[in-house]
Amino acid sequence: MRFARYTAACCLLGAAVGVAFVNAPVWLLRAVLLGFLLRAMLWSGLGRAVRAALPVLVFAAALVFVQWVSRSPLTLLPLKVVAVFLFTTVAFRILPWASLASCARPGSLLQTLVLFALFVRHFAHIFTGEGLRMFRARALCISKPCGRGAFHSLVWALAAFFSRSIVRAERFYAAQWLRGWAE
Amino acid sequence: MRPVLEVENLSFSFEQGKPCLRDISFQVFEGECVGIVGPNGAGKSTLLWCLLGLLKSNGSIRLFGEKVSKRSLARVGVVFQNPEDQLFMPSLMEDLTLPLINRGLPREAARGRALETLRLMGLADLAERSATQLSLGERKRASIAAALAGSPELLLLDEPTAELDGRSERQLKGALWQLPVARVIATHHVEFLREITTRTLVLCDGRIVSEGPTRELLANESLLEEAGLI
Repeated sequence: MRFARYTAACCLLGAAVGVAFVNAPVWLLRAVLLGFLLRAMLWSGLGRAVRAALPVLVFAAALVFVQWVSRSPLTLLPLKVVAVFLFTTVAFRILPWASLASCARPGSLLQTLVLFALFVRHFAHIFTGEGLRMFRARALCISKPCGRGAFHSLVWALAAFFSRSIVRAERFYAAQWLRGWAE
Repeated sequence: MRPVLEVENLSFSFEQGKPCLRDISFQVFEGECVGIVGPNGAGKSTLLWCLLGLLKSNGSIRLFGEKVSKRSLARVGVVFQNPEDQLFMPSLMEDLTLPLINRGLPREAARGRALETLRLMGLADLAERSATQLSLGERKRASIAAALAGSPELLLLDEPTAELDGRSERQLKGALWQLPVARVIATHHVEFLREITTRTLVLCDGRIVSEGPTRELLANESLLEEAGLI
């Protein structure tokens, strides 16, 4: 079972790298669709899978908007971003993390990669927690999502989210540096 | 007794701000448990960050008789206010063993020491759990275990009782009480220090306003009131 999970995760990570080099929109759309289907299987439902990917979808939409506003040709970058995100997050979910951490030899390249992945995973967890707290706090202080003060509070929530994330990143780095991990 | 930490005339200020720490001097000796007490914003956490060389300060800090360096810091254990900043592995066992293995300890010996430390903190049954699956009190004790696994000679704790309920606090107190290493505990929780430390420094507006035996100092209500602690 563990071997199957490793293989599947490696295939997905390979696919995530691969889609970055694909330039056919049809294939990219297929990749995005496949990514959503895989997420729907793991996140128990397509609705939850899409909701969990919402920040990246917004980011991709913003990219398209910026390209359109600046009158530059629309690129495939937004589609690639979404596809890479979908494959990577599915791979992260199915990787057997517990055995991964102990299988690498100390000081080896594999251990460095595993630790990097663990740092990223942990910080994504912190990032999600901070984001949810901040936006829940914002939701409590406005009457309607698009009503009076909604935009203003969103700007401040985003600013607070970034500054909180930087503080948390700083503390996390300091703690790991003291444990001798950060180098 | 040999001093493990010597601080002389330490001052620190954030860029273009008013000084956060002014003229701080104190010593901590082997096996001693010292409290740093002060209200929120007094500079307790900043002081700990300066001691660890994470913030560049003026003055002299000596750990085990030498300047703060990688070598001297390897003999210090740190417990941060938020355990999530320290524990990130898929299991507590991995969190404790991997730094030991990286220091050259054989895997089995590392596991043995990790398990012993977890047992000391009353967490042996939770060794294979991830920190995210534990309660806050358990996570706090787990972060102390992670700091202790490396056999430090000095343990620095930043607000160890923050957000803990009474029971978790008692368990933490019991765990800290029996440790044979020198401990510096920064907190605003006066009662916690009263029972666990022998000497206390009162920090207020970035200065040490008083220093002495914990029981005597914390019995002085006017001092505590002046320092904003009651």
